[in-house]
Amino acid sequence: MTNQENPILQVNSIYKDFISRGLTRKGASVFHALQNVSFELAGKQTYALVGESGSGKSTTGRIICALEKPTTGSIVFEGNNYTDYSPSLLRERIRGNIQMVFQDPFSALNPRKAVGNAIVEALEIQKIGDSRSDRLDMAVDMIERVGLSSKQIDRFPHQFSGGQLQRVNIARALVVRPKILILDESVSALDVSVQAQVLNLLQDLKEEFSLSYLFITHDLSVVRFIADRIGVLRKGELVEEGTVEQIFGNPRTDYTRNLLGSIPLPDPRRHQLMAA
Amino acid sequence: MTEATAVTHNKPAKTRRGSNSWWNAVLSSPSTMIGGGLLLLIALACVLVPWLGNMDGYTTNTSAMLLSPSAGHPMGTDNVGRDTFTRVLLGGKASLTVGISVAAISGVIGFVVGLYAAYYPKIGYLLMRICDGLMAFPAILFAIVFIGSFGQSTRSVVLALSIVFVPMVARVVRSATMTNMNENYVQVLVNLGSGSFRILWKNIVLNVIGAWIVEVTFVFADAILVEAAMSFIGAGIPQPQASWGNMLYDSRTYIYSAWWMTVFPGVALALTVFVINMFGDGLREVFDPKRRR
Repeated sequence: MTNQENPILQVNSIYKDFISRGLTRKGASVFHALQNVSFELAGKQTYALVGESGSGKSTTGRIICALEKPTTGSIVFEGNNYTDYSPSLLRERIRGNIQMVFQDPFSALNPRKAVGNAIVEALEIQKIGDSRSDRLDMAVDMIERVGLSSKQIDRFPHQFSGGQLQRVNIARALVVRPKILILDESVSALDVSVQAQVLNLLQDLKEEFSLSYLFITHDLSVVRFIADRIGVLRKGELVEEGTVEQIFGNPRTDYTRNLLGSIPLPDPRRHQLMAA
Repeated sequence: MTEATAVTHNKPAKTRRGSNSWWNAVLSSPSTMIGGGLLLLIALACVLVPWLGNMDGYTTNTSAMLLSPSAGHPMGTDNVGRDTFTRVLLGGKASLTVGISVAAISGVIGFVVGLYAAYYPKIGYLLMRICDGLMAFPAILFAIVFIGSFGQSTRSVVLALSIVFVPMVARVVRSATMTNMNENYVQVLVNLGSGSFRILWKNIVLNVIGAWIVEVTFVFADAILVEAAMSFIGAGIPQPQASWGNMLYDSRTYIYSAWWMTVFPGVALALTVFVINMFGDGLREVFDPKRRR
């Protein structure tokens, strides 16, 4: 943990309440999605946020992306607290720096837009590149970097497989040169062999673009392979936090032990394949 | 079984270039081709035949009243000696003009209203309550009141019907837009820092336009029917200008003695509406995302 003094992202005791209004005052109810969640993401590190569904993992991701505002608490990116930034200020200072890859690769792409255009559009929004041909070159480079062919750039999302589409989504997120990439269950929908390929790709890209990852998942077997630190969320509370060795070697709470126990016994050969 | 057919459907999509895929889908949809072709034929006939043939649908001729169909008058003549064939064509021109104008005006306004109503929920709530209010009136009642206050002319008919049909288009566009707003690609665009203009007009529009075109064709057909009904009760296109509605009105006292006065405008009206609906149904199939994906 060499970079711990200078975290790229700090999440300071955020709370998120969802209020559902009923017909009467009695019918109204408050759901505490997140309670006092704090953690730090160090530069060029991977932080894994794990927990069962409904534990608030994705909400945390959306709040960090400023797609939602926390009820209280603050998020700090490179020393700037952007929790209360206006939409234009967010656009100017934060948007391009924090990118997210969603779980469902199909829904994250416009079905009527060729994938090349989707990537070029990302560059247009971020005002990167001078001309359309310039941006198209960057898009082609990125498409090839994530392991697709430049010939596929004119294709539409329905002409790809899920694994290919997730590569497109990764390419679109990375083409704007973010510093943090949030992966919200990004490999969970892919089958195991494709999952391994995409995870390997992510590891390579992390070095190449000096990225920090926030890896949101329910799958602890993936976490062991990719993460530096782990935070365990349960019902909106961060119940345990530590390095991979600490969490896997010496879990402190029963909940974490249960999660670890739910990992299917890995086939030793497959395990080596993934670690390689 | 269904999976097998889905696979064979998807195969040509792999080789098909995206930009042409809508056009190819139109070509492979019989109801769109037949409906669209017949509609074009009717429109051309109504506009070109009276013009090229220099036909007169207005001069009355007491010596040629209520003549049955013959070589000189293929659809006979009416109670004041005007050629029914000419008047059916001129009536068609009037009906199609009203239909197209109403579809265009209410289509454009409804599209913008629906799009922004979905994107800005608070404005949308207000807009949709106004639309609900407009929809509470039957179309024909609203149009009659409108014409009562602004005078009887083709322009009044078009304006009145456009106002009546805006909510129908707006609702369809709004619901299609709201479905798209929930898709992650909108979140991705927000996260990239995109403004509302790009999200709406360069992304969501692409996915809404199909449903919109289909709805507009149905408005087109509806407008023709409502216009005919208004002309029938004397609140539509003013006499002596021909319209299918007022021709049917003229014919009602002669229905037993001169069937051609009723049958030909009636058949023309039914056929046109049928053809437009067929075209709209075909387009709905073409734009159905389940078929294309």
